Amino acid sequence: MNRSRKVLLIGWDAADWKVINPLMDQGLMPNLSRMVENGTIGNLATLDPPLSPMLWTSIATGVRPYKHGITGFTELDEATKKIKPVTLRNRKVKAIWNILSESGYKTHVVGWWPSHPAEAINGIMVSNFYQRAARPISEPWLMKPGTIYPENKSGLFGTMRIHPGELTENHISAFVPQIGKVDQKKEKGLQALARIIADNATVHAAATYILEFEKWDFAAVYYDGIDHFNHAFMKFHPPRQKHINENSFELYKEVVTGGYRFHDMMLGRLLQLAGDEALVILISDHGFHPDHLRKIMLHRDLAGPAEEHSRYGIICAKGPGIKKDELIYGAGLLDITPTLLTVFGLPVAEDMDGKPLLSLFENEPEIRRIPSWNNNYTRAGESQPFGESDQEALKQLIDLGYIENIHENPENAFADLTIENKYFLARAYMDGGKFAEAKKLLIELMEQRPWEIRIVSLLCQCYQRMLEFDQVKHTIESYHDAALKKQKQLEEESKQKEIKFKKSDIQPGLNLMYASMYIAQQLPDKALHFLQKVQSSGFTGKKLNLRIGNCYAVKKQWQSAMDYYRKEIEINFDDPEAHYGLGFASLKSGNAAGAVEHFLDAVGLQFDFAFAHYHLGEAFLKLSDWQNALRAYEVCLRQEPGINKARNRIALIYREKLRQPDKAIPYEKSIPENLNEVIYIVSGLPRSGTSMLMRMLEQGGMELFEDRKRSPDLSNPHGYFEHHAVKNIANDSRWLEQAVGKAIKIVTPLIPFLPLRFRYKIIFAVRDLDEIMLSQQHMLRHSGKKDKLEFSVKIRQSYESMHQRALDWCNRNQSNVRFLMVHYGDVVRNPLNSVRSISGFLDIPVDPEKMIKAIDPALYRSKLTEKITE
Amino acid sequence: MKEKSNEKNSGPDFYGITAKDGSVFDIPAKGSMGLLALGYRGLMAWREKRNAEAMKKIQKKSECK
Repeated sequence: MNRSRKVLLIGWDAADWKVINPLMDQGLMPNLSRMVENGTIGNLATLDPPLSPMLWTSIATGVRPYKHGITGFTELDEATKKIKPVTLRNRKVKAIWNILSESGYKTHVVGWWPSHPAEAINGIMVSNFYQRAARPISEPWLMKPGTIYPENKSGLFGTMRIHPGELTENHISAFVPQIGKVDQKKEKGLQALARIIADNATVHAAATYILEFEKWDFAAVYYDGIDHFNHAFMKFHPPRQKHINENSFELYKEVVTGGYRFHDMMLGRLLQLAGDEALVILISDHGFHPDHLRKIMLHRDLAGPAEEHSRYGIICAKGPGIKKDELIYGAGLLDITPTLLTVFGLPVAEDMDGKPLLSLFENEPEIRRIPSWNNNYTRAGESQPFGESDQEALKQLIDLGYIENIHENPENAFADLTIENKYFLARAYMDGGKFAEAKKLLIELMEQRPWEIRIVSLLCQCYQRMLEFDQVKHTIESYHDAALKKQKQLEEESKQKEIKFKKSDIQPGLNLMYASMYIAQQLPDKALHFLQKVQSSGFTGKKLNLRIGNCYAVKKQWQSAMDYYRKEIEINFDDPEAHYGLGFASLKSGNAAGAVEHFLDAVGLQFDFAFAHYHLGEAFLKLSDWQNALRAYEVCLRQEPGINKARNRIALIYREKLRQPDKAIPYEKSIPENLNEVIYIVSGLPRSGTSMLMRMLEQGGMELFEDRKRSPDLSNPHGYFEHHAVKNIANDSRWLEQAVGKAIKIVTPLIPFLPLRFRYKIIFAVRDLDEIMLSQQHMLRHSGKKDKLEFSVKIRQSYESMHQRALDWCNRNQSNVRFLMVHYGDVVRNPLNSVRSISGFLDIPVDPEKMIKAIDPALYRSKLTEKITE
Repeated sequence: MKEKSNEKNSGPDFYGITAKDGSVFDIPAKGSMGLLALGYRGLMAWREKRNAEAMKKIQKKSECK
């Protein structure tokens, strides 16, 4: 146990460097400035959906929401059908404070969201129900049971609470200098402001008391102020947006800045009390758009306010052993708990989703591991009866804009929130790459709300990721029917109630979903067809031009791609992807100097963009600007150490251009062996068309790695094109060296066993899973192993997950792996297009005519028109 | 407020705030953001001052009567 360590973790909900940096430049956040100078800073990637109770629980546990169990702002009691603000009741794993307490560290927690009821820890826990005053100052301010642990400290902490009614003009005028001009009868802004100040000053009073008068090894304190200032007042932050009234702008334009300055002052006090010997980590769970990306309208679902959040929060760490004046890349919310455990010399659990942030430290600490910290752990808190204060707390969540007004009918309200929480959980599953789990939930939701595009589009994304393209089509069609029916119903209802009804156009949404499906199938022409339909309907949102530009880039039509990237930039100058696309297309069309400008714009907008740095290096390389190319590749590698292409380039520049072979050696040594050698793989599930693709490649002129041991038969009359060594790849992959430059057939389940010492270009044969199953049944029947067709749901599910695992592996290893998906039915129906995309992908000369001749449409026999016996 | 510092060795019942040079900080009865940012110490010092001022006013009123 590392007894000498003291760690203070400070949470600022929604803090964003985009606001902080200009304030630090103006000298308005001196305490954070000092912390930045003496520590390491970076972006902290958030999770989806960016809902604070989920995120802060992920921060405190190191696991994703579907593991920790906190899935929204509210909690539903199935037995009583009551709705409560989220508590700890559903947390299924230990938080960092539980682990540290068990390990003997003096641990305190203040205000964490959610942290009610306060848990029994080795220190003081002040729950997030502590600070909120629900009644006027003239009425008693009771403390809800379970707010403070140990309970005998409730009286003491009760005296530290500040009621908004206690605040004076002195406090408010720091945020609204023209306070006298506010008509408080009409404007509710000052009340909201007073509440935010009082809440956060209350949390701060408790935290400072603990740091000053209690022994501590670890303390965590959470402030929601910046998020609340943002949601209520960011719309008034300079520069003034067109739709904001000038008078309101003048009154409230200083509030967000005042909020950050207040937090900086509080930070100063915390740093003073923590002392120089403590490690202090300041984090936020997500950012908040302060610029032209501010939303004018929000969706009316529970995640609506989260649309104002941006992808990156902040991290700043300082203290003994932490690098000074450094940047950290690739940090995420899930990494905080593993990092804290490492700081205390405790093992990181293998069931945690994050990693220790080793690059924070001057000397990398040792990482120990255990399978889990949660053996025999059930859930965090005991269920509390639903009381009046819950109702008040719910009302406050509504007032704050976190949740929509809850339905007056309790049964409907319960049903609505059940749907919302399942929807959030599905998004969390998707964010964690668990598409099968998300799909299950979304199918359930779609049965209840088939007209809701947010549900349908997520379900389509799941199907796409699982290569079930027929299901995508079916889902879009079902949505179309349901949405039309719903519109009709609403129209009727409006007529009866004599309310105006505005019909919304569902076509752009439909076309975008079709386009997205074809992009996933790597069929840019078809995607373009639908995107252009969206465009001609006058719709401009959803990065439409960027999507069109990307389609043209896939088609290598660089000029058209550039035209659309420019159009996107005209609408949304701050989109780094559009600048990156423009740079990439410029580079490919031979304008390296222009490309440099565009890549610089892209990284200027989003520095954490490894591929933009890589291609910036490529552009400098083309311009023979070796030093700048080296710099760009180095940044790329710092951000994404797995991009071996960048390592290769650095070695090449040192060895061949600068004639400094000694500097090339470390890079060459760290490049996996044989990385420049490519193996071409045809993969898919058995009966997905892999043999056909192998035959096409052979006829096209490629050398195959196969042993012809398996003879042709009725199911595969042209042969199987397999090599017996492939089956044992999990144990022995030495033979792969013989496959370099050749094409080899490897079934999908074996793809994750490929060693990363080579580069791979994988062509996945994609076929409807039901057709695959049917074809396999036919094959078994032909071979005499079965006498009738059977359909196993378990096998189908297992195939789905095999596909997913293979794709996840490819996505994780993008520096070594490129892949193309080829749909079996498309190859048979439209061979020319398929052969074009395959030859473009392989990037080696093949004979397309011979490849087309190798396709035997007569073998496309198992189609879904056949009957399947259950 | 950052240049002000409280007496580290004093217990939670002492709310006086002194500057680094030892001079006593003049607490405004109407409070300030700086006092709130000082946390527990600032809050208690402000309330003590506010209550004292209120008492003075009551006293004055009763003397006038």
